[in-house]
Amino acid sequence: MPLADSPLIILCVVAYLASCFGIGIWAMRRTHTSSDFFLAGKSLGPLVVVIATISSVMSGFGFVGGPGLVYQSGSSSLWMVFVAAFSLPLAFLLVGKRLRLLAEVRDILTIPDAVAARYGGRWPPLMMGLAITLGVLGYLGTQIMAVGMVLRAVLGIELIPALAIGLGVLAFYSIAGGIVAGVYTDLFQGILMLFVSVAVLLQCLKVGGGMTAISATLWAMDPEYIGPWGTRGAIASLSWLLLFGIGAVGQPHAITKMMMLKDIRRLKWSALATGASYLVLAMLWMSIGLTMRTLVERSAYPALEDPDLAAPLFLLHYTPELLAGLVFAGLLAAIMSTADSFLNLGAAAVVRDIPKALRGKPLRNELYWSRVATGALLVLSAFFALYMENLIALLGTFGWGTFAAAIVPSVAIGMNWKRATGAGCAASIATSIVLNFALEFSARHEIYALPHGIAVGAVSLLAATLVFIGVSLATPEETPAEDIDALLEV
Amino acid sequence: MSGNRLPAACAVLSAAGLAAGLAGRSLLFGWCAIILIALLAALGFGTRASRRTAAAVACFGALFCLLIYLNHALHAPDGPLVPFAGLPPGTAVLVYAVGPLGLLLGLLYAFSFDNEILPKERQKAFLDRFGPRK
Repeated sequence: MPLADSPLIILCVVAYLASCFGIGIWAMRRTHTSSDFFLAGKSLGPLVVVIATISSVMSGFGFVGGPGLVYQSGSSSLWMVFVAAFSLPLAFLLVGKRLRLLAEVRDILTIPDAVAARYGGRWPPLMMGLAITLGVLGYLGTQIMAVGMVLRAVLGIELIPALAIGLGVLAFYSIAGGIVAGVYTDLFQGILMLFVSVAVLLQCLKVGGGMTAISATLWAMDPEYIGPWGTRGAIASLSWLLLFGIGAVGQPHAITKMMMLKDIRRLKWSALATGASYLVLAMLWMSIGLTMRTLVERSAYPALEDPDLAAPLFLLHYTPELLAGLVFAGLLAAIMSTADSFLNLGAAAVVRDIPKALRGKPLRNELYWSRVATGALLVLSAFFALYMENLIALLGTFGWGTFAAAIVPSVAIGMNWKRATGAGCAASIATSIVLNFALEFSARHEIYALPHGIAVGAVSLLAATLVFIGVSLATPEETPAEDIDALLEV
Repeated sequence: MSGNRLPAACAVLSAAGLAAGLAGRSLLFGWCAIILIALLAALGFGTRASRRTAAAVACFGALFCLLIYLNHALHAPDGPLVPFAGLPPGTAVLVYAVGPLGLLLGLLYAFSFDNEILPKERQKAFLDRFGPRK
């Protein structure tokens, strides 16, 4: 990561960190119960829910990894972002209404809570808690390492002190303010991201000499690169369409936000607003990667050692200082807001979901233990990120796919299909964990790789869906509780 | 609430998608993915969906299958670049059509919310009977 030695950029980042402290103190005063800690007391307005959802889904991967993927393989990864226009509305359609109504009639704070209410029994919520814990550990490790790298670049300090500063701020606002602090920092970050995405797109077009000139340069280099499938090919691109088009419905950090909405009727326009806002963010993903590759091809800039440097280098060398400062603050915000969402989910899984599934009741003094678990998860993830880099990279890649394959069948289909059974739910989650881990592991160690570049997560999602429906149809029909039965008819 | 037909169709599409993807049949794989998405949308709207909504979901699926076909058909890497709005035609379909037209689903959700997704009387009847925390 290059060094940003501009005082204006440092000022923007320091101002952002200070604002996180302010939001943490404000949110702490609003957090009195575990419902406040995990679901913001179900008190949020639609704007906050919409922006917080896109912010937590975008994450540091979207700001750094997305442009890096475009720089490396052209249009292929655009299939991940442009499908958000319908994937996020699909999430509202499949789970929004029922999860929010369920939170009204039962003590539902998390996805495993919802699974326990839907299917009953011990295994479905236990398996879901396990899937979420594994996914969260991987995601958290990568986000925490990214916080350290960005702060190191901006402040010009070593990795360990940079991590200590980032974790200190994150620990303060997520332990003190729980998800209330998280969603309001998400709101701040989301608005910033929407603004900078448009500004960066315009700057890219200016630097590259317009879209036609950019396309001409890239076409001359390799027509496949700027073609609809990029250099990874049609199957890989379409597997991303499948994984991200349907998989967004299974991201717990996104769909949990729907349960936080104060007035359920505000779901109405939230679906469209979420999809449209995400499309705006896609502009940043696409424009930086293509422009940076164009500049390299025109010999206006040396080839990048690491594709993930595309975004930071473009910002440092081709954008006005204030815009670069805002984007760096937005980048830090994106990473930290996602980390905060995952800390919250992880704490819920450790303190609430798994103990409830094993003991049949939650821990006493849940709010206190949630704060302890948040701190412990933060330290554990930082330790993993620093000393077990391979494990974190593996868990990081398998996070989205595992969530998608575990949650789409059991929650998205299960909440819309009465015949779904607990056995089908547990079997599909087990399929998701085992397949994702085994395929990622074997590809990483060159034991076996799926053909044609098809994404592991897409294969797991299809297999888990097949297992869920097949096992549900093959096992005896279950009679859900009266309120769940009525909920499935609403 | 749907019967077993839509989930069974989802299972068939999942199996077909797996087979097509692993066999490298990209157009078939893309169509399976899109039809699966449309089936899930239909599952979300449920059996109470009006004919108009059902037709709109079917159109959504058909339109996206066509776009996937156009992505394939318009991509001509061996010829010269003939840009459409600054992009090669196949890529232009992705950027200018796949993204924005995807918003149709969100629009459909909003327009059917009051009458089909969650009519006020159904919401009231459910909450009167079971909530909050009854």
